Amino acid sequence: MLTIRKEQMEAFREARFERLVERVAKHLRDTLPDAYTFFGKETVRSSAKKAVSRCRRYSVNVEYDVFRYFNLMFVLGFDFDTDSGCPWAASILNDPMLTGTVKMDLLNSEARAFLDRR
Amino acid sequence: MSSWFESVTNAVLETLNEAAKSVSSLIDTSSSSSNCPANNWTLKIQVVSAEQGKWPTDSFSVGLVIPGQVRIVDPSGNLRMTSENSLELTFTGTGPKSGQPKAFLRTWDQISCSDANVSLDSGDSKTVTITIQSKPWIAFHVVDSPSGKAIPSVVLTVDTPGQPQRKRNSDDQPVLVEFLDRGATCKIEQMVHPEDDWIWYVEEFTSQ
Repeated sequence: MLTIRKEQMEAFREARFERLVERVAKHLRDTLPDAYTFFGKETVRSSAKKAVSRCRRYSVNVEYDVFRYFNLMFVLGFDFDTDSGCPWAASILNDPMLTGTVKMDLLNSEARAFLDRR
Repeated sequence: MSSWFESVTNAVLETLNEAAKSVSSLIDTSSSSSNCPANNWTLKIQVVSAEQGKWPTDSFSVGLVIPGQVRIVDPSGNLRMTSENSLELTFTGTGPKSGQPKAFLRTWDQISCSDANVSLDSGDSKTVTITIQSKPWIAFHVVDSPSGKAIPSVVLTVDTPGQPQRKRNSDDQPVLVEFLDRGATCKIEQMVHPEDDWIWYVEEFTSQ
């Protein structure tokens, strides 16, 4: 029987977190290289880290939804989840009745409408 | 940094989301287990439009709201349009669940559901129908009294329940205020013409 200790589990989890951060940051570099250059490697990486952490906090667990959360950070601002300029974001993200995917669908709809209104 | 956010558009968001589809998966990042339990109940939710030939233009979600738990059973990915005005989602799961089928829409409303509360258990196969309808809208067309011609560039500030909206009248398109809640009131707070210090009086309201 294979037994995985708690410490090993933590190490796996941490490694998975780091891999996801790397892929999320690479996604911006590959998709919008100008934006990547504008913000710089360190800012993009720290924002990717923030996106993955915030997604854990808001129960946004599906990988595609984590990417969508990160995308919104580069559209609405890095702290859009607590920004008083888009109060709908906090109310969606903190709604315990919604799953992560539904939260991201609703946030994207609201973000599109928000950008249209500007 | 602020210059980036000031110039960002919907097109940027769409580009990023499209790219994310190809580089990410639908894997649950919070789970480390690869052993999925067998699905043993099925719920089909059909969403139909109450309006002939109309369907929401923006995306929306459908779920089963389960009070007191984590609340929406995600679809298994089995989604198909059954016609131009209806779609069907298949949800699968295990164990007893009870909840309210719900469509989460921004520009449309859910107006009815064939089964307000659904109870599911092993072996069940159920179908419910949600009917949706577009939210009300109102159009203002500002016209000159003697000639009846539209006055372009008049800016209307319209107070709607969500927030005031500022809209510009043109000579061929009315000022359209969309997506009001049913029973909501809508009031013109101000009308301004950018070139003149005009004094307005309303001679007539027409509606159709």
